[in-house]
Amino acid sequence: METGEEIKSAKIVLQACLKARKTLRMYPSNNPIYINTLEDTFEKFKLFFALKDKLIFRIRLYDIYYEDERIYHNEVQKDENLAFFLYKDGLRELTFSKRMPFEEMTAFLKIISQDFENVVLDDDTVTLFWESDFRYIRYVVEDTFLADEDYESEAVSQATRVKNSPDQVKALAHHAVSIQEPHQKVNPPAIQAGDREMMEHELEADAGDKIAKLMDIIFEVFADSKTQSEVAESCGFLSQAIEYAIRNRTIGVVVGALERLKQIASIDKVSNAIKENIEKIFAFVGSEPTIYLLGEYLDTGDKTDSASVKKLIPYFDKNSIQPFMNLLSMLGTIHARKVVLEVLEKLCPLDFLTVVQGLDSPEWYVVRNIIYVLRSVGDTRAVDYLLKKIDHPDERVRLEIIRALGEMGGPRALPVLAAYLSDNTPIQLRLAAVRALGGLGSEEARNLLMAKISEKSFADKEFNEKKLYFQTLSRWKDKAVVDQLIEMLMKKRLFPDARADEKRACAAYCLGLIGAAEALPYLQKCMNARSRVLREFSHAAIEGIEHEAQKRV
Amino acid sequence: MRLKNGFDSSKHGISLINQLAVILRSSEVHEVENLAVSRAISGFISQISEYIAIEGGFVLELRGDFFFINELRVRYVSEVMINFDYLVRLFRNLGIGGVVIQPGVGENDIVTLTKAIVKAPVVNPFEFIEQKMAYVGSIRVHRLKKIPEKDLLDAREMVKKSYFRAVSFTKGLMGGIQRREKVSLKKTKRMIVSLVDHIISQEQILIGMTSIKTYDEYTYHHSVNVSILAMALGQRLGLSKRQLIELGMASLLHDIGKLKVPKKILNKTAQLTEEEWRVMRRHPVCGVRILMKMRQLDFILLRSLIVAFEHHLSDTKSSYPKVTKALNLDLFSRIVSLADRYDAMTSARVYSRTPMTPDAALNLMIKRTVNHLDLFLLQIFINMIGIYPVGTLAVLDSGELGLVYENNPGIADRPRVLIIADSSGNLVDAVLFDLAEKNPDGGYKKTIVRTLDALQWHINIAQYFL
Repeated sequence: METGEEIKSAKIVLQACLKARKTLRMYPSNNPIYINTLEDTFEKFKLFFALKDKLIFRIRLYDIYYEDERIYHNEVQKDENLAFFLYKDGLRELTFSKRMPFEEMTAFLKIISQDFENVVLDDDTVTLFWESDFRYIRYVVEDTFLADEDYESEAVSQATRVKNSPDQVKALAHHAVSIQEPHQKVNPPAIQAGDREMMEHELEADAGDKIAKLMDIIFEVFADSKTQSEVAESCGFLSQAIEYAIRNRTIGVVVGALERLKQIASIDKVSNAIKENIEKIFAFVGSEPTIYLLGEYLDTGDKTDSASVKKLIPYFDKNSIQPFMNLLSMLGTIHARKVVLEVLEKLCPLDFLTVVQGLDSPEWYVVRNIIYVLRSVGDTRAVDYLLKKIDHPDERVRLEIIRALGEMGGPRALPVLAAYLSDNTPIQLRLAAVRALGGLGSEEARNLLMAKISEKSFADKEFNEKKLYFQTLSRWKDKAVVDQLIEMLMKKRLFPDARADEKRACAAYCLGLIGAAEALPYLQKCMNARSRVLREFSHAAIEGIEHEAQKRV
Repeated sequence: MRLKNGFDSSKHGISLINQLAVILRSSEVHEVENLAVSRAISGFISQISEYIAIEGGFVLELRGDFFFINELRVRYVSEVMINFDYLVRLFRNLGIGGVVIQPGVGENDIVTLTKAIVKAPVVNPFEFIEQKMAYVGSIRVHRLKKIPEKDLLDAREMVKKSYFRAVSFTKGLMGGIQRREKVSLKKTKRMIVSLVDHIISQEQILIGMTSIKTYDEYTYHHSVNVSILAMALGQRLGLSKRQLIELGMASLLHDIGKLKVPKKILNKTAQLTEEEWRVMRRHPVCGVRILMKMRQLDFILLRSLIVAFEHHLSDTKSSYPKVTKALNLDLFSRIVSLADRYDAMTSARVYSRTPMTPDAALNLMIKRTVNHLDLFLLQIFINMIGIYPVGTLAVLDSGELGLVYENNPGIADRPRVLIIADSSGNLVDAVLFDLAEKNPDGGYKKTIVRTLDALQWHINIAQYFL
């Protein structure tokens, strides 16, 4: 075995570690490059261990040595310099043993790949090594940089300054002999059955959430406040604790704390100064940073405590609307967006104008979400704003506008919806417009639909579209509609015409939905029709009408 | 570290030591052929075979007060505490320093080892065991190595350095907090890591450092002492390394609120007035205020804050601060409270010039403890520091004066003492003596008959420890 070969191999290991540092910082752990790099580095270690059982690196400020050979040199005083990175935390020597498993090497590489310069971490490399409980990686550290090294000698000389006097000791020994009273020996309590289980239980409980306890303590500090500045400070702490609770996903604790504060504020004898400080906490809860934190929390998955988030709504005010609207363009999950939409629905009455401004958002999905909120709130002031957006370039937005107009548009929506019935309109929008006309429920809307059905070109529509027209029409249960439907049903052709039969079948379907008993004889006649679709729809309509009649009896 | 195959060598190590203790304890009562013993042996064989298959071998070593398996220190956890202490004591008494078990070990081999250990005589027990095991190829026993005096001195020197470094660091830390400077949590953790390392390897020496109560800067020494005692107790309860750091930090900062107590009250030599006590009793609340302003709230600060607030809360009348809503005390608060009371009672604080002897303090603590969990913690604490804690000045039945130097694990009332005066009361060059040593007739050579108050008699124990 040549030392030169060892040095070469040690150099290769170090190079592999340096490469791994870069890769681990750059790629997520499931990336093939990340995985391959780890495996490759482990191979390099194995090749070294084929030569020698231990690999020892000596760390200096700018250098790393194997034996007496410098195998790494870098004078940059930044963490990218591995020697500097390790040296500044007090590491002076690293030893890897032959039996080091892959997992231990991975843990080591992950630690040296931490980006301490850009990520705020409260642990240094040595603490992280120590916590990892390495078995096959040993390290030598220097701790002298932690404190004043002269302190020890001063303290020791001060503590040992007084020397024991032989006379004093002798006097003590004589005194000891003269003591008559019996010595009270320490008699520690015996461990009892169940004590260890109690301890296990306690340790388990200790691992649990501490945030509720934090909040309780801050409330005690608040209660202890003697001066106005202490009150203000305590309220600041409560805001800090609320922020911490949100960061740590314990929204229930936040709700509990706010309820306590609300209760305190409701007490008459509580001073105005205290009430003002409590108001500041509520304002903090409704502030932009807090709302963004809530957004981050909601975006973490569908197991979030959305019920508790909704309980926070009473603590938001109109100033909270804009941050929540901003969240709509930031959130990534449907779940989170749904919760935010519910919140906005509740807040919209506080400041309608701010909400409608969301219709100007450059993101189509935000516009659609705002339309959804306006629909849910049902404030007809929204119609004017919706009509202005009817030509929105995104079809999904237009679809939502049509839906909203159907629900709250009134007569002003009719011409717009009528325009959307044109055959040039995309099918989704056309269908939505038909439904929306049904939603308007006016005579004009009915007439429009009837007229459309009567048009010659109607027969050319797809069966499902035809069916939707008739289905929508069924909401008007008046005689004019029934008569026209019976007329359509009985309109025969000399020659078989499938498209005409489809229309007749739809008329039968609509009569069934209306429950028009007067149509029964006609429907019976259609049971003998040549068209299978007409027969089936007539049969279904008869059954429906009879079933309704029986129910009435 | 858990490997990909799910094997947790640390957990297995605890289980193996426990099982070995079960075998040996049962064999003291039953014949080795008894069903209970043979079942325990079968269980051990199956566990050790799995362990060896994965780890390649099994080397059990006793180093100081702790076991190591294949160089990895086995965590001392409360559920197997009695068996651990039993095995430490047994190995020490028999002079066994290690047991190496090779692949292919069988039940008969373990039976032979068990018999050899159980039947070992008081005189030269190790030679007897070694002879009995000579023909068992799969098991080797090693003699307990006597740590060379130089190594002991080196270890003591290292621990001493770490202790003073910790005090100096704490002084700087508290000064920084008072001046509202940015606190380096990284450095604080590093300091705590260094202390925990010593607790693991040199627990008794480090605990010994806390027994010197004659320093000028009480506040800083007290904080470090409480931290050491709390972490040592936490370590015996089986806390993880991460938890030990949190406990170390919380205990170091438990009295941080005293920075707000005026110096004239803190340094007052006479009894405090009611008003001064009222100010003093506000320090837990002040502690919370200081910590909340120290840095952005995180888990470690949260734990420290809880301890700072709760360490004087209890089920007794002397509990403070008064709270509007009853709190379930945190485990850390209970641990720190215990360590705090012990260190304070045995220290010459400014406003309490007469400290108690360590055993008197323990007696009073036992008397005053009403909560069951606190009693359990106190029991473990006493088990750790001994009935005669380090620094106790004792009179031996030989008439000599001894200073308790180190606790003997598992034998709480038989520590190692430094004999400082002969039976005529003449000051002598201190000689270390182990009170667990026995005469050939089985009786102990020397025994403590009473304890004395070193400070009252102006005996400076520091000169023996530093």
